[in-house]
Amino acid sequence: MGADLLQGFSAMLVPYHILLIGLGVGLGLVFGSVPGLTATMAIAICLPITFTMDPGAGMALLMGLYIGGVSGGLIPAILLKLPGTPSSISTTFDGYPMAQNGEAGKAFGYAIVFSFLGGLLSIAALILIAPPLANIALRFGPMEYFAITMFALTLISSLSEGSIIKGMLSALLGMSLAMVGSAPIDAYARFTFGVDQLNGGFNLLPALIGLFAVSEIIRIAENKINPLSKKIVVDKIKGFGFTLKEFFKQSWNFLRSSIIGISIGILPGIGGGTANIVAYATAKNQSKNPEKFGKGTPDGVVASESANNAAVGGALVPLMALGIPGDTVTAMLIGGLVIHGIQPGPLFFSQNVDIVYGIFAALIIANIAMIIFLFFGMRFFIKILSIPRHVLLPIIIVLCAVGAFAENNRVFDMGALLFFGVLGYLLIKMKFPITPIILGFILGPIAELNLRRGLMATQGDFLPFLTSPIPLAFWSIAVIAIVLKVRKNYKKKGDVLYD
Amino acid sequence: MEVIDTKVRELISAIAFLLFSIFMYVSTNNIRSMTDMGVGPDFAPKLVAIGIFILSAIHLIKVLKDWKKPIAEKEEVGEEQVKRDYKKFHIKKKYRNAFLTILAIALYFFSVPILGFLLSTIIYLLLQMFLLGERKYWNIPVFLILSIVVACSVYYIFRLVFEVRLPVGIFG
Repeated sequence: MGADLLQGFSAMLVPYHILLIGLGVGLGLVFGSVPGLTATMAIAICLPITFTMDPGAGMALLMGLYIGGVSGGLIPAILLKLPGTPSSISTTFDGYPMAQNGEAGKAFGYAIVFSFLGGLLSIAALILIAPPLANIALRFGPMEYFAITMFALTLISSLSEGSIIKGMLSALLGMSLAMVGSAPIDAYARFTFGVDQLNGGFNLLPALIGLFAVSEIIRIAENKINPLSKKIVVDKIKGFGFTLKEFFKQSWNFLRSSIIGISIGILPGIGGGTANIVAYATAKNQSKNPEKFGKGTPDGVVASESANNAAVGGALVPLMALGIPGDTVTAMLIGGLVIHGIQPGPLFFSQNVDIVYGIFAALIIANIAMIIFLFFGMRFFIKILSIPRHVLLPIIIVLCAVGAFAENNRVFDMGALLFFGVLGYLLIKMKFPITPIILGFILGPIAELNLRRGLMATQGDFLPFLTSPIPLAFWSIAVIAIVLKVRKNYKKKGDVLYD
Repeated sequence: MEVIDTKVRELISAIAFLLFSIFMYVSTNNIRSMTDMGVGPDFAPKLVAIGIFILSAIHLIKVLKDWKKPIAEKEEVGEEQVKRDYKKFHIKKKYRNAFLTILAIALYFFSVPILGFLLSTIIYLLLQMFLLGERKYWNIPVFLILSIVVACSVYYIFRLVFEVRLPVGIFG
């Protein structure tokens, strides 16, 4: 493994790849810091650019975007009390008061350093967990795979916000949208309604960009946009703003928050957006002086920022080892890999060792680039915050359209992009979660393929799907997750519908 | 007001999913099995359609059950009434803006193969910037220059660097 990692580094440490990682991190930071733009959008508009690159280069860019996108959110969170991404919601709780107390520099110092360390720890966890997990998964047959995908889908539906019925409906809708086009195994064209362009099904890219970027922009367009009117206060930033003693005081808080981040990242359906809130709440509960939270204690910033960056490595574990994306960004990354003909999953580790370890190396380099950029380029990112969004968002729509078109050079895919954008917008308005749709879209075909393969092997007997040991374990956890969620929702309000 | 609005939305979504599942199930009858092994290509779609049907039926029952639930509605007087009317007006305007944005994007995508990428992008960018920005922040020269620069740079970067030829339309 050490040798593989070394090889990964030697592949990534060439000027071209370093440049791409740097570009990715920079762009990711911009998208992360401007409220309303997300890491998912950044990856969406950059995916088509990776078509012409070799897989290693494409991954270098995408990993940079991922790390940058998650980290950028801390800037407006601290300065404006606006989380740039959902991953930085809890950073506003103490980061903004710190800035108001004239400690913006110190808040940035803590946020940046612990983002970096949280990220690094989670990458280490990824490198240690993913390969053995893939090794176990190698022995999985169709029954295990079917159970695992269904397990992931139920978990996503029950973990995403809102009612579990809506979550499951979203997942099923995603599965049905993926059924358009040729069926697995016999390639029978389903649900095309005579439209030839649908024979291959909907492409993943327009679906992803439409559901996550276009829908969001339509939602933002509901209100006319006013440029930011808040005044930005920044004191002199010198070094990292804290002493070595203060740094070590955070060790336990950092470790706990990072472990929370990694574990939540591994679970399908939730990532940094949940991790930072859970870590913040835990830090507050376990603190000797919880009354200081919310008034500008560094502990809150450290908890939030170590957890959200730690979720990155966690989310990549199921993606790389099992081919199951944990959140929206990793769903995008699957798109990036599939374009190059690489299917993430257990075979990924034996067939594409160079790319796997290239990704690990790219993540570590991107993490280092992130801390350098934020440390030396803070002024630039603060300036970016004042670019009016009514100018930025239309440009992003254009880039989305180009992305949808570029994959197959079809104008038809731009229509699909609009379809998914409007669908996503309507579902957001009806308070349906979006993430389960896209995961249903990606996992549905895998589940169907394995169900049919498995039934061929068992000659049409369903029982082994439930009773073999590994599937049985996954089904049990899935059922427990549903029961817990339903009970929690009933307890809360006696009403599953409107929460 | 807000609560009723939410309930209507819940009802619409429940019925929409219900109809969708029926439509999907009926459509699966056109799928013919090509293999004798295991289950055919119509099996999974049927299963998913049934799943959506059951879940949306539960959803619908819940919505209907809660429909009559009394909403703690206060006597509306003077100021409250004004506030409510203002909100109503605001909601209308909100959806109008979202709808116009969808329309602008649809027109844009429709015009790309006809007018070509460059021209339609310039027009779309201008329109959308006007649509998103408050009137007092309209900076027409900046918008115009930006639209042209963005359209041209995207077109040529994709053509020269990424080897993607964007549609040129009838003027090409």
